[in-house]
Amino acid sequence: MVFRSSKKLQKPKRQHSVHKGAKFSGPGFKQQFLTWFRHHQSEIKRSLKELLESPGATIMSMTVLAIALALPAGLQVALKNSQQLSQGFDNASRITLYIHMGAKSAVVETLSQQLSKRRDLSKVQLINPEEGLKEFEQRSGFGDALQYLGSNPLPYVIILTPSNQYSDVNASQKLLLELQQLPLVDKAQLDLEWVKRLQAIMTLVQQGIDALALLFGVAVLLIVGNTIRLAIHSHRDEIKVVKLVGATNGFIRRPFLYTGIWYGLGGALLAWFMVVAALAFLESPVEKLSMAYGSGFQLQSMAFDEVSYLLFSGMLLGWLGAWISVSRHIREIEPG
Amino acid sequence: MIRFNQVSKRYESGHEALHQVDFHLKAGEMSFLTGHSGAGKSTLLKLISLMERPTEGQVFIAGQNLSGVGPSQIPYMRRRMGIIFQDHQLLFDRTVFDNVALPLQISGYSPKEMARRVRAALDKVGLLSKEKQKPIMLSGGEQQRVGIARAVVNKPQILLADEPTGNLDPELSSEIMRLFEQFNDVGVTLLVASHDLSLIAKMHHRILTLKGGQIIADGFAKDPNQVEMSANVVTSHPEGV
Repeated sequence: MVFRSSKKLQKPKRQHSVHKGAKFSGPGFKQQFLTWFRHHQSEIKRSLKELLESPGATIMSMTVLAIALALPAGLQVALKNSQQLSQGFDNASRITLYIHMGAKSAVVETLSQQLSKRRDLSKVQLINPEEGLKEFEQRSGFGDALQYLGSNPLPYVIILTPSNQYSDVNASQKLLLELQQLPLVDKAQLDLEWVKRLQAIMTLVQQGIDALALLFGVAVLLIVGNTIRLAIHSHRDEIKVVKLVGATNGFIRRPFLYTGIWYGLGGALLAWFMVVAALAFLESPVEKLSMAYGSGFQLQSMAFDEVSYLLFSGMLLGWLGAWISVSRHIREIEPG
Repeated sequence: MIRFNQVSKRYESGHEALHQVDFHLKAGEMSFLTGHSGAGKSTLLKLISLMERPTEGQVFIAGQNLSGVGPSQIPYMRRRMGIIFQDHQLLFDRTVFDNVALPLQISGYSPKEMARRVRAALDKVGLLSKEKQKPIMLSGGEQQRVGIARAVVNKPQILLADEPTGNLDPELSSEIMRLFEQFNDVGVTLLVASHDLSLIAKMHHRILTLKGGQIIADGFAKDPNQVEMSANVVTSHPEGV
């Protein structure tokens, strides 16, 4: 009964020649490629199915990954919003014009009036030498010493505020050059220092977030690596068997790499969800605050490219973590 | 097909499992490897299947010196041989069909060709009707036959079996042995490690007897001295299975 197929075994010549003929009697290259592709497809599904079979453990691991990914992602969104806010501050950039010492007050006043008609300036403030001296006296504390001066050493000063569309750094710099050419103007100064400082702070914060992202990226690698290590351990016997029947390391690595990618993707999706949830939570208090300041500020969520970047990074880190782990541990598992 | 040239194997513990073993198994030959446990049977099979490397001497498979086979080439060498274990080494989370299909999946066969070959192999061992079952639902003898189907599905040149009948009753054991003979009939070279001397003696094939890591007898079971001698070894040191 066991040997009912003895007929098949009585065709020895053909089989025999196959054994002796080819060194390795396998399928052709094209066929192997197709099957390689098919194996990828089946491993993508199988690894996902395996993760879904123990949903509790999977969700827990993914949540840990999500927290590690959500922190830098959330900070990035916070920075983006504060940049939007600082653009509002940029509008306050000011230009100071120092008028030639000998200029007549009537001429200066005419200039001031001309300037206030310009569309690229929203505010023009004229300070005459007496006002300037008074202010200096009050602020510097040299009041008594100034009394010994025979004449007022201060010139007329005009303080200009560029209108909104000319308020960014480049436009106001252009405006500055133009105003410097005016015959009455001795010196024109753009009050950019604090804008520059703000930008420097922003750059610093961005670099801090980048460093943090790198750190958390390493954490994701380690978490995925450890999770995959456990998965490898639980498949120890299977790996031995598969090695015995001639599986290459690439073949054995494949399902674990896909598991890593799934973890990364799941973690990134959860991280996205966390950031969106946090923003939703903050939306109404932020709105109240900005209304109270009369600002049109609106909380910005993650843009499409930022979400894609997050998901892609998650998958890449998952894959890399799995790869490092599998390469390390697969060599240790040998049959025998 | 399988040639050992002065092969010694010493483990890191200092235990010398094989000492200057010399033999040649021609293509299409079937041979038994016997001796009590610890005599070096498993080590000898592991050297052929590249699970271990010899400390001295050379092992040749189909004229190829295994010392020249690097780690990356090991999988391809293993695809040319079928290996059968006492404990079957089946994957219990997959069906009988999937277990047998494993070597083909690794080598990259199309699903159609794979199904055809798996069914042919299962038919050969008489388990075609159980292809959809999980190995856990099968008896010990049936599990062993699944292992055999998996070992032959790739049409290997060499079949190695390590105590394939260790857990089976005499009737099932002789069924398995007859199955091996049928593979041998189609030109497969077989090396079967077994301590079941009464079964081996009936089969009239070459017998290599190991003792203390050395081949102490190499001949046919018809030679009454050899069987007796081996039998004595076994009776005085009964093997724990």
